[in-house]
Amino acid sequence: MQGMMLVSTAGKVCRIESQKGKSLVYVHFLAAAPWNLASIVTEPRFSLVGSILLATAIQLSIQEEFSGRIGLHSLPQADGWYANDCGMTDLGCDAAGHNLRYFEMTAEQASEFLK
Amino acid sequence: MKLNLTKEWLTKRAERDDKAEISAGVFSIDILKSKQRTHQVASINAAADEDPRPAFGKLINLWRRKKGLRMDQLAEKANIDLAELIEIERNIHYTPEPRTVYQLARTLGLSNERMLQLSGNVIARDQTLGQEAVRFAARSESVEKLNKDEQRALEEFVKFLSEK
Repeated sequence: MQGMMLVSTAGKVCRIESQKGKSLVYVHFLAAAPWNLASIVTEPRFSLVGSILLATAIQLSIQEEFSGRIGLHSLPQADGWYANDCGMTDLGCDAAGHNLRYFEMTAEQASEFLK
Repeated sequence: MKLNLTKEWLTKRAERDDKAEISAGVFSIDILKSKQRTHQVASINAAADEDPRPAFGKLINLWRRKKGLRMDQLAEKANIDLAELIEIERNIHYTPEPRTVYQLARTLGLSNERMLQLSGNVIARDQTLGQEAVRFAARSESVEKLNKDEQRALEEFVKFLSEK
């Protein structure tokens, strides 16, 4: 196992105005294994774990007919990656989610991510 | 479910993922909090002077005053909630949110891991942190201006946190 992700396909809906109330895949947990993190080991065994897990969440969203819409609460060290490298929309700190920043991906952003 | 990821996509993403620490989920914080509760239960009989949290609030307080910042200015600079900053500085047994600790660590230019330990969010394997934290907290008092001892205590503690 090189990483882990926990998602749910029910019970969460979109917050972005353009897709508000629509279903999405919500990522409860996403992490690469410690031996794949450059912050922990000097030579990570595998890269791309985060991207592949995120692509999997998008693919699951497409399969569920949610058009690739996903949502998640980012840990602070990954805020920049979700905003800049994944093109997700930053909806700011969420008091209901331990004050972590909530990010959401639209169908268009998902399509762009998978290109 | 089948993933159709091309070699070009993987190459492109590998460049963007380089050294990025990718993680997400309220669930991660719940695990952290759960570990923290376990730690609290496990250490219920331990000496109270091993709790590093008083030093966390003191460190933030002294650093802020050394920089001549008001609480609202530091809260804005670190992009954290003012009410939480007040709680950190005034309540020695307060455990701040991990995000707040991360933001403060970044603002102070200190290690996130050490600050998480100091704030009581994770358990420090290295016992010297607890000892140094207690020594630091004991040496500093809350006065308007940093005296020489406080100044020296702050500098030594920041140096210790930076070295580890």
